[in-house]
Amino acid sequence: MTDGGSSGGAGRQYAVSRRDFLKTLAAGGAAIGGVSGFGTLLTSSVAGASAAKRGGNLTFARAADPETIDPSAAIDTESIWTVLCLYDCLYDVTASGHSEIPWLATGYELSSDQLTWTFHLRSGVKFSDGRPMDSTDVRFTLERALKGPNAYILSAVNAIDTPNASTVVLHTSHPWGPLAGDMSMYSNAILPNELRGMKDAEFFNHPIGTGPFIMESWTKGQQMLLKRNPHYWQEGKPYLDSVTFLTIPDDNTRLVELKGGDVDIMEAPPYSSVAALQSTPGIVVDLFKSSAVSSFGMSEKKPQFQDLHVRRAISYAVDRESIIKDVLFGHGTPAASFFSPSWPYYYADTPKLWYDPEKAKKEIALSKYPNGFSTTFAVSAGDELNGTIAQIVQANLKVIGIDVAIQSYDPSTLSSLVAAGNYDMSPAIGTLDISDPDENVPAAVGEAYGGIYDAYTFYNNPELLKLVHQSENTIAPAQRAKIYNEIQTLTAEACPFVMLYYSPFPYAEQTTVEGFDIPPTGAYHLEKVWLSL
Amino acid sequence: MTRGMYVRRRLLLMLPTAFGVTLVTFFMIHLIPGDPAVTMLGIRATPKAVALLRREWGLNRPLYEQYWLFLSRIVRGNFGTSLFYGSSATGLILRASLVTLELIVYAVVLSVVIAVPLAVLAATHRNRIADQAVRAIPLVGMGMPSAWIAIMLILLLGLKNHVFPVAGLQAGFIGHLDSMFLPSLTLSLGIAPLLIRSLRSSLIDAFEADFVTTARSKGIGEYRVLIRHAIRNSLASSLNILGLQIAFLISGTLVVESVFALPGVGALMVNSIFRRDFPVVQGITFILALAVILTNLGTDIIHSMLDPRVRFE
Repeated sequence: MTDGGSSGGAGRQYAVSRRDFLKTLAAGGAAIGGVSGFGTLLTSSVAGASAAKRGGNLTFARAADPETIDPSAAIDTESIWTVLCLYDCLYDVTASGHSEIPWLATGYELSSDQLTWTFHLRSGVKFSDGRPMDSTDVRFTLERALKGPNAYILSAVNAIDTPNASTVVLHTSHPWGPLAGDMSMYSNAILPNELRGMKDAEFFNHPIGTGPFIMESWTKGQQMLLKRNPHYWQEGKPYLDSVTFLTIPDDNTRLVELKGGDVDIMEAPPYSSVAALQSTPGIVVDLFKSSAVSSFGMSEKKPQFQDLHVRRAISYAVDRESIIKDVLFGHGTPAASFFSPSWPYYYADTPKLWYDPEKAKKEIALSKYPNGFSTTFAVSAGDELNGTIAQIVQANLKVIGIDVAIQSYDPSTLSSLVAAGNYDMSPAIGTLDISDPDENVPAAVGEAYGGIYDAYTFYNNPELLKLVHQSENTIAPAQRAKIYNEIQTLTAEACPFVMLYYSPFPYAEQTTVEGFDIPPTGAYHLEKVWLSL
Repeated sequence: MTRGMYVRRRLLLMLPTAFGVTLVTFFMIHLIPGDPAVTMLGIRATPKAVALLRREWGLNRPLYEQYWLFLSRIVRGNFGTSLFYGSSATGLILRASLVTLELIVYAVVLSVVIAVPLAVLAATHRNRIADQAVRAIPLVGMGMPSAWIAIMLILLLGLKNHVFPVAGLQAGFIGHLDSMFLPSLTLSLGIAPLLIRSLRSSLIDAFEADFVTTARSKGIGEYRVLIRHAIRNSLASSLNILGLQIAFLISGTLVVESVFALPGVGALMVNSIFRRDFPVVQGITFILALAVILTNLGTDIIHSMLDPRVRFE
């Protein structure tokens, strides 16, 4: 969690006054409680700001250019995290990733029939053009989001009312547990009503949002300049005057830019460089706890993978520790559940089908293919990380008689093949953007066409499907926890995909950068960052 | 025929050649698997949303109709709208092409600046130490992958000594010269060796030619012999080689652009192919085809200007 004084580099000391210390305690206590009121937000921001300095430009080097800054259309991580610098959602995700905190909303009430959610909006929030945010903006945003590629997150909502300027009422067709979490989805980040009368293209050239920064210019493929939003609703923030996002796809070039001091923060230092960077003076490496989960899917359109024992044998045969050592240089932990520990309702006692060659041999002997078979592992061309995973899996599966040929495809072809199930095994990585696992669970084991994040397995288990619907139609967290425990257990035993590891979000920055602390969703929260030069 | 007529004829032939290239590219990129609408909308999009986007982008029309639309736009200088950025493909491509053009021109200038003096040095000190050195050392530039040279230059001149910026394109004329120096140097170190060798051997041949013997016997100073007679007559074949290398460079700047984070045509082309951003891919292919043809034409013209013996037929 973001406690005020200790988020800097090694050896930093702050003179924390008793008043600030008590505020930090208060912030800590309230945040652990989860959904809470207005007061917490103000307290924690003040506690963190005890030594913050105003001013400066932050240069942030990233591996790819965002595709869009339209919240409803964003699907790649660069776009998502940029969107969250410009606009805000009704709720934000906590530092633990396990719950939401009020952001543009201050709270909600649920009706006794559990079908009507009344959200109260924070007062005094203004857009970057100075005009106040109210319920018409929220209604417009949600109705617009229902037409984009992220519409699925609002599938439960069947009507939106705005009884007054500070209240938005959402009606659901059946009880919907994830709704507050759905409001923290980046695609529901609030836009001004009717885009102030502008067409999409015109509006997104100079977008208007309530976020800490305003986009001043975007030279596509090269850089994006953000400047401080003077109307930002969090008092005193952002500290920075401006942010420059640079697009530097080559890992080594990004590294050199950081070492040379031309860049303040760099995204994704290669794992092979982390140890060296950690011992470089002036540089800090952050391996933030992330919501990322890595696995590989097995398409059930292929008869071999319809056999439960084949899938379980493969899972027992894969040496996750070896993969973590070779691919992540040790910076990861083996995964059993398809939930990451930073997702809400993660079940730590999920059965582990981990490296055990004896069990793998037993399972394959029980299957219809006791002597193994030939198959393929499809990776994206130029993807070194998954290429290495493919090689390790190939070696691991030889032991149980499965011959794996590694096939390379260009990214567009691969995603088309995977979406149609025309593959044998293919890697997948998923992240959670909201404070509820429902963003990912239905796509993994729920809908009839199955799938996990971006590797479709077409695994169809009616019992799991039922449980998934139950998890969505239940409101009480304690009950949802029980259902999710069962979902995770059943999925692990049925093994439609082989879970590999949980990895961090690696960043490296100069020691002059303070306050950079991201939650498992990966959102930068640059309103908390300041430069100590 | 005169040079003017020759140039006019070549320019006229340029257009059908360029269109031939785009025809092949168009059908190739449309017929390979991979749907830009699926890539754009992600895997959770409904089939209905994908179909809607394909209709919006005109991708559901028959291929020949799409090609006709593309042709009719190109003759008006319009490459259509980028499927991914949603903005004018023409703007995107032109901006990227200008960066790459600057890079190539700078690289050519640097390679001539490196090659000519070194070749003269080698030819005038034939078989002595200077000659051996000039013949052996540039081979390093030819053999090493450009990515390696690029990183070495960055570490040496960018990181350790902060002489030049490490990556990215800086604004302004001086900014451009500064930030493009290392990338252009990387490219020129790749093409200079061949130029040096070819110029050196042409110079050696020229030194033994009759006209040089005549000039020397007329008492003309060695320096004038070199400049007015030897070099002028040696440039022709090296110029052809330079022309060919520029043609390769035109589509080969990707690695250098990647390492130095320059927003040029190489990076745009590769990313657009991966994303199946058809209008951008088609537009870039057309521009590159034109560039290569123009380079060849330019080389021939300069050759004819240097050597009055060249006749056109």
